[in-house]
Amino acid sequence: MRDGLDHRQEINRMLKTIVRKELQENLYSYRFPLFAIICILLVPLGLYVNNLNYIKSVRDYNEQMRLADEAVASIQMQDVMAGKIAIKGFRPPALLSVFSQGFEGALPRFYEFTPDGYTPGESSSGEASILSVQGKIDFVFLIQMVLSLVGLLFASDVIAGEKESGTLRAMLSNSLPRDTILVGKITGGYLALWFPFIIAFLLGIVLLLVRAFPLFVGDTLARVLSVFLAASLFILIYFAIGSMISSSSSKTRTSLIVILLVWVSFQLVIPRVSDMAADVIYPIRTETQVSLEKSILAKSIDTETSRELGRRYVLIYGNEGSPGRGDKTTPEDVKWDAVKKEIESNARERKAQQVKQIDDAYGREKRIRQNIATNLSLFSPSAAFARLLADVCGTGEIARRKYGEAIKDHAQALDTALFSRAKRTIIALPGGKTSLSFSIQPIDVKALPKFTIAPTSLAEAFKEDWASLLSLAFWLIAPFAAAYVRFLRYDVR
Amino acid sequence: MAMLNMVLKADDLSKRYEDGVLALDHLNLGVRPGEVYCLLGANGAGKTTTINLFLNFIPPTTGTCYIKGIDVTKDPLEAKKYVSFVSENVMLYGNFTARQNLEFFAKLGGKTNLAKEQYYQVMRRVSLQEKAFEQRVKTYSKGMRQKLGISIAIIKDAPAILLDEPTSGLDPKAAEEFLEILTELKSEGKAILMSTHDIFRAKEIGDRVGIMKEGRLVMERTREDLQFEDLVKIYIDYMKSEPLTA
Amino acid sequence: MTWTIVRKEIIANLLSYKFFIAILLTTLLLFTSFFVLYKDYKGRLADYELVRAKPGEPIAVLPPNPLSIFAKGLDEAMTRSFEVSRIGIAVFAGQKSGNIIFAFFPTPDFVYIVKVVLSLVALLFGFDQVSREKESGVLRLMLSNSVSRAKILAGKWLGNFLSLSVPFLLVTLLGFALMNLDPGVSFPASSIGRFFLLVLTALIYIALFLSLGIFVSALTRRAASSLVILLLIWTVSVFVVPNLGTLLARQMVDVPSVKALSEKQDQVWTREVLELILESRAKNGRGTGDIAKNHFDAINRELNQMEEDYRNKFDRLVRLSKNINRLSPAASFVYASTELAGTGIGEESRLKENVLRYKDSVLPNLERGEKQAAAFAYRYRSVGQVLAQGGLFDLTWLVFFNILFFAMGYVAFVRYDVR
Repeated sequence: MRDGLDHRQEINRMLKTIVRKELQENLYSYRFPLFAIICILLVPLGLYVNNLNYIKSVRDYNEQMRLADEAVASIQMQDVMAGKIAIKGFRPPALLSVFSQGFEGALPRFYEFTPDGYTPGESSSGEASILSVQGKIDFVFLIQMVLSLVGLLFASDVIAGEKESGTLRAMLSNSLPRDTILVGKITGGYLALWFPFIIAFLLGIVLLLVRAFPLFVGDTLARVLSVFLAASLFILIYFAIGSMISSSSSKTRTSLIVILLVWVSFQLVIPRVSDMAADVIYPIRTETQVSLEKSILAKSIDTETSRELGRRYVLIYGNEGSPGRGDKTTPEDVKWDAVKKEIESNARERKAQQVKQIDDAYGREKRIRQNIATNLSLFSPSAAFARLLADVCGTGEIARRKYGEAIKDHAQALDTALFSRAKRTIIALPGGKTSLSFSIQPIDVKALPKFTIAPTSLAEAFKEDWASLLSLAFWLIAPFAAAYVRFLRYDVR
Repeated sequence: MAMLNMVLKADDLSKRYEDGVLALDHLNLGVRPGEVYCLLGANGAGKTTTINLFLNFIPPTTGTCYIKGIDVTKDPLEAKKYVSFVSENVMLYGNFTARQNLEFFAKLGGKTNLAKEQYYQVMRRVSLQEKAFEQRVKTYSKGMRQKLGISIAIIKDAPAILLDEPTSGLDPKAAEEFLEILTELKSEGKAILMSTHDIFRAKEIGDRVGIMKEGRLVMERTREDLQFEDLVKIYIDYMKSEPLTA
Repeated sequence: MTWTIVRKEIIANLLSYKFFIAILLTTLLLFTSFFVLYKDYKGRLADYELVRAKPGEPIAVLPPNPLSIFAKGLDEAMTRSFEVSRIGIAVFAGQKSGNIIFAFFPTPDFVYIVKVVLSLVALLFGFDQVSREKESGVLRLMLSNSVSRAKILAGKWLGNFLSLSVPFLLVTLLGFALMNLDPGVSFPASSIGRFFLLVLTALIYIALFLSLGIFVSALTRRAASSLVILLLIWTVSVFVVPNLGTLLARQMVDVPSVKALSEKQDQVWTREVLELILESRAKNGRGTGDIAKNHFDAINRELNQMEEDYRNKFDRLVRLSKNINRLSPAASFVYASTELAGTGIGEESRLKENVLRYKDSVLPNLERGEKQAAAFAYRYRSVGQVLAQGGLFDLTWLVFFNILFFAMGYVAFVRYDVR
């Protein structure tokens, strides 16, 4: 005898009543202003501070590029042949590091390329690291560490508090289905958190725009929007988890304690344990070690080559000949040139091949270890969130990987364009004498390849981080489902 | 007894909890419109369990509760449309004013689109002080909370009202005022089921009085009966007598 | 009488699941931290063996500090390699283990765990000390006996502090002892004393938060309210204020950027070289050697002056930010512990000074074309020096917070309405 549509309308009406009541209740209590203060204090602050850092890094980067370019333009042939050239490749600071620092402060700012290979430069300006001995606050950190906690806490008496004050019984003595109550309370409670967050975020954006942040260039807007949505989702997830805990306990105090312990586990224990476990399961060498391995290899090949050259030299010129060049080009000279070229190009190929082998093996090692650590840590929604956002902002694992690839590519390119063209070769003659031989090819210093890192599109980031998205989705749905089930069977007496 | 127009009906109601305790033992009870039924008994006799069963807070082991002929376990949402509940410690939202609490519960009870003046009227009717209307209820005394609780019941305008120890902890004047309101509601045709310790007031206001002991309704008397019998004596005698389940 | 209360508090804690969960968590975190950083240290030590200066090379590089296992501080910055050459000092990344993951989440060293987690745990123990007992009416019962409120408060404080600190000490000392067993990680005798001072500082810090928790507990009627207030305070003092100081200081002290510095360097070079050319032309090529030397000396002097200027400004920035940050006990704690461990700001700047002095001593030889340069040697400051240069101030500051919160808690409790 009940009209289906009427019934649904009635339910919707009651839902709206409950949502409004929740919002009002939160506004009147000390919570809302508390959360609002925390949000509005921290979020814009974090964005502002990191933007200042970013602006400074960009200035420094531009300056260092200019200096490096000048250095390159003034390269002398002798230096190249003496093997005393070092060319630096700089990593541009990431624009969206304003939101997520990620690896930004830990990756080397530059790499130095020499004929023997490449070495990492220092990672952040000493100055920045000193000031950050207290820790850093970036947007992701704030959401992850602080707002998550606050969200959990405010959810702590979504159910438990009402039980305690018995208003739940009062509500249930009306013709009101339980799931409507739950949905209404969670929606109302979350909205009371979301509105201040939106305000804080917008305020932060305004502060950025004041400093000429290029929000509307390229896909920056899309990324910033993704960051906002992900953060909103993240707060919702923790609110849901808090609600679930709340609907499982009868006293606010109990649920508060459980919430705190859950928070500590998610934020601090799981990420550490997963990295540590990855280290234990799959330990790998350090970058310095690999770097050294490569230069040792290079040197040994060089030694071999010079001995081989010496041998062949003697074969061509006989024991008496010295590698001076007279005015005339003798037939031996012609032969020698051809032989030398062949030997050197073989050596170069061999070197490149073996270096590549080492690099590939190390790259594989790193990737496996990284995958283990990542997959273990994704159990924590917090870790999933941080990783996803870092990749969206270009300071995450993808950026690190692409940096590594760019380095390798550039090393090869430089080798072809510069280092191999002007070489001073040492020839080890039998009998212990060494002599020098020079080979010079024209080098166009202006046409030297520039160091570039392949950009990552937003779609790419999402595709790679599908596991993080899955983890977040799970942590959104599961607590709601659990809260639903528990609340529906909850004993209100 | 005409069972047909009973607004509240408990039919052979029994409840055994998980720990084995038999809280209710084949209870049969009915309240007609315009009638006040007072349920007396010691702590643990089963009064609150009865009310909880009517409100479907717990399921019965056997038997059925009916509100306006609707089986409470089969269609709880429909049944609850016809009942109002005032608990012993009236539960309100402390940070809201009286009017805001009233408004919220009114809407839940299906009464939307009421004007502020209508809320005020109801609160005046229960003799709540005018200046308290827009004060936060966490500042209220117990008596004021009870009044607000009953005004929530009034505004829902349901045919049945359940009250759990409504006058406990109230000073005599406040209790008297409360009972006046109940009498008014009774004359409006509401069926009222009230559990209480207060023998004296039960005698005053109850059209029928039932005494519960260890989950059973051991005695039921009408107002006429009680003119000739001393309820106090009966009650204390029963309390002092041997336990039924000896 | 007080001891009765102390005993009751300890037993009540032992019987509560909250205590066990908190202790379990702390233990898990601490052991994880020790293990991870211990491996990190060994990795960095192995790296150091690879990049250390070979005899004669003008390179200044420090081995990693074993106490960095507990207080990472600026150890990574301090173990970079500084290569002296004619154009200046080239800085290279120091030793790193493959573990770059720390970049993602803050380094979970002992100091961090104490700073963030143990402060929270201490608050958890303190927040309901008064309000819970009031809610359950037990407080009234206690006070109906002839025991002063002061004794009750002291008993509560001591009972909870012991419940907190004893497990914490056990875990920490056990971890330290286990690590000491590994021959590859030998803690030199001097660092053992520092380690104990570090633990003492941690205890003072934990006590401070316990006092704060009890104080706020005596201000509210409901335990839930005190927890939320405490969490706000905790958030602000652990995360916000320590960074606020840096931000404000940056606005107030202007440190020249790399760009400005390099521009000035360019100017100096150009000017001196021009003058050099003019002078030698004037002298018709005679005495060029001396002229050149004069000008190069001038360049060196000016560059040194700029360096010093920069460092003075930077020091001012650091000092100002430190002083503002110190409003938060968490910041004070970090400063005190990192300085004690030898990985703090003070130690780092002293290292830089030494590196500069090394450069000054080695450069003339390099310019003369000598191939062999003297080796670089660095000695960490003694504990006395550490204390004198700010360590004692931070420690006293932490003790002051303790006394302040305890006193305020006492006053609040005495006026507490137990009805």
